[in-house]
Amino acid sequence: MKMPASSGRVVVIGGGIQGCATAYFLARRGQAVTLIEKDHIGRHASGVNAGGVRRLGRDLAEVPLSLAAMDIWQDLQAEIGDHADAFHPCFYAKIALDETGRALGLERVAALRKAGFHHEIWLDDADIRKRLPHLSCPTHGGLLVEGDGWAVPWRIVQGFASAAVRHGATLIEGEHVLSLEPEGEGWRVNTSRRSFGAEQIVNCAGAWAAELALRAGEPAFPLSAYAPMLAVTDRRPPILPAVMGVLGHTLSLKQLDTGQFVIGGGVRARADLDGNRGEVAIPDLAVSMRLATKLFAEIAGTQIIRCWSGIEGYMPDNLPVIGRGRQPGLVHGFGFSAHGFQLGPAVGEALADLVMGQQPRISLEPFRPDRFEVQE
Amino acid sequence: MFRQIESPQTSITIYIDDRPYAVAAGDSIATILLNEGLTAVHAAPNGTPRGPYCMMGVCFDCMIALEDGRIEQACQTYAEDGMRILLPLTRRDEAGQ
Amino acid sequence: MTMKSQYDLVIIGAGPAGMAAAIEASNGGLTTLVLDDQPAPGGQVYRHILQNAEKQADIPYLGADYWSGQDLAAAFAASSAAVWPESRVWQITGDKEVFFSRKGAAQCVQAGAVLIATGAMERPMPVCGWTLPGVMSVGAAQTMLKTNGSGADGAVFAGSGPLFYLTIWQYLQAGFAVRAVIDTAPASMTPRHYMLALPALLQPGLLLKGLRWRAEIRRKTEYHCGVASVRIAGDHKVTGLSFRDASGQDQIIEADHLFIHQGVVPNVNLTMATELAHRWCPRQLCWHPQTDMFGESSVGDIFVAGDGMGIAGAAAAASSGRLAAGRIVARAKGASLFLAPIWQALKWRQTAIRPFLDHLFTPPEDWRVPQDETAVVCRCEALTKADVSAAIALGVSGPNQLKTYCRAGMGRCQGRMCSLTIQKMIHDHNGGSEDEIGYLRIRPPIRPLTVGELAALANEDAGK
Repeated sequence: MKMPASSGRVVVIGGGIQGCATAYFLARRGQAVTLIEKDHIGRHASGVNAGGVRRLGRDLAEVPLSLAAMDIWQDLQAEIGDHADAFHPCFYAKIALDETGRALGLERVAALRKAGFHHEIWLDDADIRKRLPHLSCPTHGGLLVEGDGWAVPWRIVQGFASAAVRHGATLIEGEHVLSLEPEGEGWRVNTSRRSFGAEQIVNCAGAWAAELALRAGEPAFPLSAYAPMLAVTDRRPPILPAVMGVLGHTLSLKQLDTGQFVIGGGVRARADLDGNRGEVAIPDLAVSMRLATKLFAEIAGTQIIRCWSGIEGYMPDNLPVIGRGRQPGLVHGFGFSAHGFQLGPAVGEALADLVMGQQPRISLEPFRPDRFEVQE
Repeated sequence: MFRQIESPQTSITIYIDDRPYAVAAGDSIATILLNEGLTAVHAAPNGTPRGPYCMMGVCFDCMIALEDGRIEQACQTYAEDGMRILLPLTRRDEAGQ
Repeated sequence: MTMKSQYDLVIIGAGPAGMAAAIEASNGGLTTLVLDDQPAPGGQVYRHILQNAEKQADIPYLGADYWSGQDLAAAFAASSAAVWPESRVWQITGDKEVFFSRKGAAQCVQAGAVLIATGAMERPMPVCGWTLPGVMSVGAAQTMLKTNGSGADGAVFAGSGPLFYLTIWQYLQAGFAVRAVIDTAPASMTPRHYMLALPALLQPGLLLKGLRWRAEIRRKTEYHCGVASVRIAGDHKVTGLSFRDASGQDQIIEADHLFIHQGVVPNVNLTMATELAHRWCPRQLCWHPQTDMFGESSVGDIFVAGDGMGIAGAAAAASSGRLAAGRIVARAKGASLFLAPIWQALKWRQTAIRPFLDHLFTPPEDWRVPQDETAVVCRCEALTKADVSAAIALGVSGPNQLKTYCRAGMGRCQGRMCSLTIQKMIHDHNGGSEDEIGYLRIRPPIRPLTVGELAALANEDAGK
């Protein structure tokens, strides 16, 4: 049932890509929306991730959402204007370095075809090498997706936030939401500095979302916080025209337009939610470095000039929580388990749909908030 | 140009951009560059030439390329006999950038 | 990696603080390792001192203060402390693992306690043209003198501070032709200066020496003071210096080499990356790691000594090294600290002149933040004052949020050459407290290491 934009205020909590995209879509549809961020926009996962914008390698359950998001990425300027220049389309390749990897890749293509998806293609070694002429090692083939890419993450998040504000959203940074109390048909939101009413709340609080949910009277969500680490190198002549991974291993490797390599891929360190910090355990990155130098021998001599980590929220099944909460007037969008960035635009649209009582065009069944509750 | 008061104890040879230089073993490459009047060695991201500034490893403007391709600070790299150094600025100029 | 070397105390830096601490700790029976990034001990102030000691008679121009470090360096060389030179420490973990690179290989040692004695660096001086080849810090000029007796004839010196006058004096003693000296310190003293000079009388030798150097420099060089609008001229390299002199005349002095200096500040990248608490020091206009009277930081068994905890000079650095090591030895042995008050009193006396020097040589405002919009603020990324101002105007709470709008601070030097400038620009725009605005968030590795080096560091526990 389609409902007009309500006169009540919607409060989106969390200024990462999920929250900013949601605030944007709501504001564009005429909804009064306030976006509250405890630090500054893009401070955490959305600002410090590897910036991969990929359909490749998604859990089957996420593929429809990812494809819908890619439609938005490919026309991003229409939504967020100049900030869209932060998206750099290029192909994504996940290559097999051994027979195990090859088997994984072929199995995946078959599963995707069976489900009706054709965006991932399998290339043999000769074709992979045509696309990646500087590869230093033999491959056993690989998966490829055209038109994926990478983005400068904080600029994309800013793009959505600025666009939301242009359409009338209110942005509040530097304030914690201390409590959420049911009030009448809606909520009372109490921050460190103010108190106001809201008709609906969208929980996009990332690694802090389970805490926030509890404060709203929701059940406990099994969300864990970890800090994936990344490294960036010196500038080098361009040799890598794609974003790469390796089948059966965790690696994310790309070369920015500056010539710097960004190397990471899911190696996780400890996160401190209260202290807002993830540790940087540099030796743990050695695995990714070994893979990177195997792929491109000349990377071995490149200097790592900085490492960092960002706090991400993980769910036990590595799928996000997207859907209505148990409380009326509460919608959740969190738990993206370190792969939520590309999904952001579609998640924002879907959350805006839920808030406005509209049917999201993608089924959110795999992401049900109640899937962890023990059935009685 | 930096003039040396004492007579240089040049006991080894290094190569800068394929040109041989007689130098003292253990001198930093940055010291040698300045003694040879080479004050510009690499380019900043916008193309402007840069060279040794702090001589103590904090400015990262004395960058040189070693034979194995590593880019290192000249003031933290010490001369060994036969060492071959390339100045990134020269390569950049040759590449017409 | 599983069989790490272990030491009771790992000291980072072999300057006066590190050397004094190493002697104290090893004499106290602790297994002690010194990791130093230079090929030989001495830090900056006593650079090359062991090699130079053999020819002391030939190099009198380095001055008595330099040579006074000989005994310390000799005692250090003779001590039982292990020393690994050319070792670049890039991370200290909370568990006191010390990661470093040596000869292109990354390694790790396990420390019972750590003493960070990495000293100071010259304050960034973002004047217009400071990135031109041929422009160097005064410390760099002094390094060339100490390393192999090299100097640049016809060089111009601009700035102020003890190191400034010392280096020019050394140039004059060594016989190098100094083209001109542009002194940015106040031409005359105010009542406040005289008041602060009173405790400085506890170090009369230092005061007199400084006055003597300054007088000799005024006599023997083309000397300018009371200047304004200093700009460095040149296109691909420095060609000279322009300024407005005390009488209001615009002047240009030509030179192929220019040495600038506005004091030194603690080099905090390692202490910050180790997540030690820091506090802004308004008197010295820099950050100090927070320590107790022995130098223990906010993290237990991690100590800081020397100029890295606050600028106090070489003699005080040695005292603070001894204090910290003494504390660490006493803790290991469960002994009392009856010698501590002696070192503490000595250190206090050795730093009595500091408030006077800090006030007299406060860097001029336009050397901390350039007036010229085209002056480079972030050297590594070649960003100008205009670039950074535009980002600050978008509304940032500090240098870290600034990184979401521009690349300032994202280069190789990890903020060493720009963070103080950016912080002041934000403070000038936002107001508030410097402690709140903060410094760039420094993360390891604080020195670069290659992808290959890291790849060779095996860690079977990764990827859990």
